[in-house]
Amino acid sequence: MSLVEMKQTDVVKKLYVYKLSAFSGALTSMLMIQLFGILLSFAGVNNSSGGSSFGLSIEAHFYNSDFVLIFTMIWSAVTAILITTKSYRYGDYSFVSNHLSSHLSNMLFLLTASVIGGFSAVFSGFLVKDVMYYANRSHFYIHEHAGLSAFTAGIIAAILYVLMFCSIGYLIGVLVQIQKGLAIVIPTLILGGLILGSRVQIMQKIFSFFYDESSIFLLMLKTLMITGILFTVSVMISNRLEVKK
Amino acid sequence: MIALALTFVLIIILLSSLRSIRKRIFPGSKIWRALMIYLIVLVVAAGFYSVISTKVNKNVHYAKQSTPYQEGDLVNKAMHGNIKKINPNWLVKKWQKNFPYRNLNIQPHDMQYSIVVKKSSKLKGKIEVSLYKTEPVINGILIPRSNTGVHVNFKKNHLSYSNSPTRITTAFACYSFPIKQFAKQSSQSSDTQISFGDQLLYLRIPNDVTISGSHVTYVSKR
Repeated sequence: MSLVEMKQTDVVKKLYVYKLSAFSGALTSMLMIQLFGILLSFAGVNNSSGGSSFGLSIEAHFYNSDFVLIFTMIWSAVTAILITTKSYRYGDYSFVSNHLSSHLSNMLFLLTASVIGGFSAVFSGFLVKDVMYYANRSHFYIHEHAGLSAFTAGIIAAILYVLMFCSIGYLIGVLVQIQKGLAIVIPTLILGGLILGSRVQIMQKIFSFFYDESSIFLLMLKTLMITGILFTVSVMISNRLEVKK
Repeated sequence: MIALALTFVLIIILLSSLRSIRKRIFPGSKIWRALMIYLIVLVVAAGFYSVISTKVNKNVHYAKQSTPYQEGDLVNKAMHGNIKKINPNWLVKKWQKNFPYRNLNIQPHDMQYSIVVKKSSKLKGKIEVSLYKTEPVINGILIPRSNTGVHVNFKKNHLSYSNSPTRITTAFACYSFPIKQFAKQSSQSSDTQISFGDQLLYLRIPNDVTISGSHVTYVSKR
């Protein structure tokens, strides 16, 4: 037993630094997922076509990083689930840590991953557009009117969305630790929700609660509040678990 | 939504398969180096894009409310005798032919045009045919019009017209959804608004010539 009492913040800091290196595999996944998303984006999103009565047909292809963003959100949730699993948790016990420091370092890691993920997901759109410009130089148009403030707000929003998905994934991960059966129930519910999403009003309301918000400060408040609640619930549920099974 | 669900499944499969191979691809600290290179590439791409956007925006024209461009504008102006007020850029071609006949038979082919006819006492033994086209508009952006594929033929007192199929392919750079959320005047709707533009065949004929074969509108001055 050590006689030196370490401060909670020092433990969290050490654990965080350890996790940046130990969970670096998650960032490899992110890189690959984003590259996959970039490749898919070259096909265009929300493409439209139509024809007129006088023989004119128009094809419009749109390019942005929506695919990359969606993939990054899913990646963040999956990563958050993974770091709650036994194999990842065992690493924490090499340090003199408790549940709280372990969770806090996990959250810091997820925050770092969200910042990297959200930033790179938005910026990957430029790579897609650059390539598509050189491929379609004669008929390339820019349908963007956002200024620097909207762009900055967009990056912050992307990071917050990714972080929120992390907190959802983290809660799922903690719940699965308590009841293994939830490992089947939760993905089924998510898939069902995605398939029925457009028909279920609650899904539309959740979507518009965030997406219809045009003030970055209110969006920050909403997402950080939800993220905070989800992380707090995760910590509270996790406290019911034994220190080490 | 189903596509999103399928994507979700695909990513889960991809992520789980990656777990085994990712350590072989970027072992240890190499991932941070790879990540830094990736981020630098993205920032450089953003720099390139700012150059590209300046270049592209010089040639892009927006169909603003203030500009004299509205659907039906072309035909309305022609119908009410304001042909001179029509944007001269919309004139594709003008023909003037000797016409010694009393009747002009217009044969529509398989395409639909608006045909506006003005009788004029100044034209004797001649007819004048003008073809006007406006630019297609996609989400408020004017797409350069294609003037090819327009056929107007005269054979004795027969006038026939047709368009061969024309295809316009366009590529648009647009912001991803979190940026669109904060962009002013930007519709969050994902629907694309396409307007194909108008086409008009404007005829000036002598007073004593009648028209048959196709539905035409005569100029009525307001």
